[in-house]
Amino acid sequence: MSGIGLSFHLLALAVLIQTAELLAIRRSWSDEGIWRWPVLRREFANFPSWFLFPLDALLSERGFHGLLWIRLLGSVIALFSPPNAALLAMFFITTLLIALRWRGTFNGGSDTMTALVSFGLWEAVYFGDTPWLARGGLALIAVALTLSYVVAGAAKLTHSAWREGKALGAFLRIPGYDHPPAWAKRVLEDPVRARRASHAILAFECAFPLAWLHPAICAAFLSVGVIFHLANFAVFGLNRFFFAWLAAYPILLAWTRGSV
Amino acid sequence: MARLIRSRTFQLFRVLIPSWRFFDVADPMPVLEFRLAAGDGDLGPWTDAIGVPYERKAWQLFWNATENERLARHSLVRQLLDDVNDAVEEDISRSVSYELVRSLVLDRISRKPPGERRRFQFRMTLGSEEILLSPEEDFAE
Repeated sequence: MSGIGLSFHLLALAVLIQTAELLAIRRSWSDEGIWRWPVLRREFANFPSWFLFPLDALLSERGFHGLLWIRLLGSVIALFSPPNAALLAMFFITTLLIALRWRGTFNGGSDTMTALVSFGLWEAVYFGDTPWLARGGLALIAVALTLSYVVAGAAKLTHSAWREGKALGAFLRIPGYDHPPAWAKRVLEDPVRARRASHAILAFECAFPLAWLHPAICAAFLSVGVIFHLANFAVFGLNRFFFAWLAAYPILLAWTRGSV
Repeated sequence: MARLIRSRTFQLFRVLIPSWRFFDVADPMPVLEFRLAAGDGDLGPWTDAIGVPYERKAWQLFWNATENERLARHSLVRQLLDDVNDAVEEDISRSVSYELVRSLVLDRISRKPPGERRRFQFRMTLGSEEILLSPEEDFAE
């Protein structure tokens, strides 16, 4: 399977899980729930009516329910079909609409990565006959993937708490993330192991651009990346990040192999 | 510039603007709590309004709807804190964030036995500082 094909199917899996999860919490975004459209739409009151009209149709409880079902159906079709520009465009647009419905994002960076991979793959598939445009879409994904690690690593590096290995423990005391699994607690309560874990994360994130040098190096970085995201899921519960980032991996690997 | 980036309109479209600064600073997170009164008496003790995570299982890698919704609740409370800090409304109780957070509290209260929920009040704290205290309200069934 080509890098684009594998990426497309992994993206479909990410979209399928995201959408099914949103359908499962309908109570929260219903008109009797927390994120009620009649309240949310006030934030769009200053937008032009040509923008507000489709939002009302698509983001009201009924419209949003239909939108999610269409997205779910599209993701199931995508799991079993070759890369398809129409499905990718739909994934991109619905990701933006879902983000708007949740006042920016539902799940932070995982929504952004889903949008980027959807758009990049759409460009690559839609402009398949125009190599420079197609490669541009794939480059967008590969560069965004690299920046996602490097920027995160560089930002951490500026903080002494990360360099001294104290930051991870501090995150696990923040409400929302303060119920880590027992093994993570044991590791992070031991200053030596906590420092090693911090340094390993810094090294992986900051050194990620080396993945561009050779397919074998890239495969090694991506393998570590899989473990990194699984650990993030185990400690922080960020399952959507795992699938959104995984969908971008085949593109970078294909790029280093010169097969895009 | 910082104010523009924090503005609500900008935030609505932030999915298009990658910000990959994941977990760089362990900023304190606001805590949302509520308290109830069964009748006309005093309000009871403060109770967490967001909920604590379940013990994580491997299968939640593929299905984590409840946990992701809980993280979204945390984000919503964070948005209210930002709105309070930025004074987006002269009266914060008229803001969208406040109204959504109030709905969040009502959602939690609605899971309590009917006899325990005659009146309610909620507050947002950051560390030991009380950032916001709602007026006492009657709970409409």
